[in-house]
Amino acid sequence: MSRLLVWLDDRLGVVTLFKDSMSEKRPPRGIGWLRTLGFAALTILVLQVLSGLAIAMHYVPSTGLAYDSIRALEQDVPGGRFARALHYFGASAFVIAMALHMARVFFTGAYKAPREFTWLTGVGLFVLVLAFGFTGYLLPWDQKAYFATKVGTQIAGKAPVIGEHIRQILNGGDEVGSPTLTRFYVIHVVLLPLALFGLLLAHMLLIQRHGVAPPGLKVTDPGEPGEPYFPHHTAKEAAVGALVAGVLFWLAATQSAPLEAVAEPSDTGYDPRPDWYFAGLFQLLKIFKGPLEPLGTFWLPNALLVGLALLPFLDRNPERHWRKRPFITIVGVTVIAFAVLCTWIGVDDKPKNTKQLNYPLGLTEIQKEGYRLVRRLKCTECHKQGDVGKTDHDAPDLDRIDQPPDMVAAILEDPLGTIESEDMPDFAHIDATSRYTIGVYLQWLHASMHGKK
Amino acid sequence: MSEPTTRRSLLTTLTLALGAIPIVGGFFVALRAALAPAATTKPTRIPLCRLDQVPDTGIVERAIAYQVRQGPSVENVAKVVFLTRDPSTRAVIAMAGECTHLACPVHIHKDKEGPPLQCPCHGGKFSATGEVVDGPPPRPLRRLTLEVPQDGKGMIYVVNA
Repeated sequence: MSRLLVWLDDRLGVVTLFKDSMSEKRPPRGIGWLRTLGFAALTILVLQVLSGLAIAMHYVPSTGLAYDSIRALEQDVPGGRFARALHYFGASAFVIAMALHMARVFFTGAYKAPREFTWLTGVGLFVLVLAFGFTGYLLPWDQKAYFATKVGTQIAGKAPVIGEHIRQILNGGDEVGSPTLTRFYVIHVVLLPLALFGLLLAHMLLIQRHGVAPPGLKVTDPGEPGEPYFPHHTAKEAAVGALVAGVLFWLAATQSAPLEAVAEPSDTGYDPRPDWYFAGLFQLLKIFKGPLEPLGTFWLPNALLVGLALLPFLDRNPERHWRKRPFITIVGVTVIAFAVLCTWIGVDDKPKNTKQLNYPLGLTEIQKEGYRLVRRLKCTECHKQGDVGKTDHDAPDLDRIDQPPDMVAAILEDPLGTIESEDMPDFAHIDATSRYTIGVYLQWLHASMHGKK
Repeated sequence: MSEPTTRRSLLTTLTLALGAIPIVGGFFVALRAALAPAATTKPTRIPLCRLDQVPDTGIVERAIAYQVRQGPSVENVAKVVFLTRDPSTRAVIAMAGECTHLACPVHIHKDKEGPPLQCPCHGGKFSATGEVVDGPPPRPLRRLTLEVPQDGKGMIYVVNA
């Protein structure tokens, strides 16, 4: 050891730590590529932190600007579109890597004594990653964000006794709105990362303390030590990490994260669908009808979670090999098959209505408010706009309406008295300012489509 | 095998307990503010539509729009309301457009087949008056309290939406 390393080790203990945990640590014989899945998840975590940091620098957590801040990130920020796509695909990859890692630990019986708490912290990490996914959903404030959060917080509200309190706390009020966005942002970028790194530290220290479980042996059999952890197994981990990162970089380079039209709570033409990793739960909710409904929303998902957490304490069989403990293996395979099946059917249930009127970046607040009203009042039920709306109606396309804002406001108030239209319903019940705002938006729309000032 | 309590050991225990006060106290102070909901104010009487816009048969969809203050922001909120008439009394019925299962937006089902109000999420189906016909919803669609003009014309208002 060089004198500098000795000097550093005296003060920081890093070289000793490296020796103890890496270069002189000898995990049991027979551990292979399947033992790299946890490291794959760790690699994704690093990518999520970095891409998330880049996004957070440009994101504005307010209902008025969140959606546009995401579009500005994608359109104007160098690497912004890539960062968001990486974060989006990384979230899915994170869930996949953790599920596979958990399945590996399950089938190799590695959760058994003395590693019960390693498993328990792992289950905690899995729940946190799902919570990251759920809170991250809302932040772009598009249609999917709004409705998925609405459904999600309603599910939380189904918990007995305290459910309604949890829902109120999550929403920051009665309903999903601007306080919810602030809360979810804080949960996503402050609370969950703190919890995640705390649990991850515990998970790693426990792995360090108990080492890798020897494959196929009884819990009492420590097995024979194999090659040192470093560099042999770490080389495998590095290869897997590079592969995972490579795939994610390629995905993010070639595809963008989806973004639907801006959230509009009154949009009844929308069919909410969750991302694939909640599609299983989505499907489960459809199965239980009427009085059995709490079974799907609360009891079954939570029983599964509690069962998962308590697994090492319930399963006292000293055998690790899956063939020597057929009961728990069959239970595991059944649960996994059910989860995969539900997810498959859930993903396959595609929404019917996907087209919504949208607006580009660069509108003033008044123009945006007019746009929102046009969606809210469902003008496209009769007036077509691009590929949105009805085609069988003889009302003019929205962009063809070439009237000054005050005229539009007057027509909206009294279509019969102004343009002698008996087909058009009147909008006398909305206030005059709102009617004028619609006119401002339509004026902008006409100018932007037909180049007239 | 507890050691006898001496003045010294008692004082040590008490001092340790003293150290917990700022942590526990700070925790509760922070938690209380962190979990408090945003102050919300919304109107108590919202115009819905004119009485002559409610058809004699079938269901129409209307939106009520109003402003809500939540904490610092005042936002325009719009909610979907389904309007129909009670088959026997002909009284106007207004139902909130949120599914009672998990609050997805209920649609008017335009095909002849099947119940007229359906939820696109988890398969909830409702009758024209909002009763559950099929699927997971535990309750009928929520009825809104209305203020209907007595003279048979004029604006219907939603009270306490």
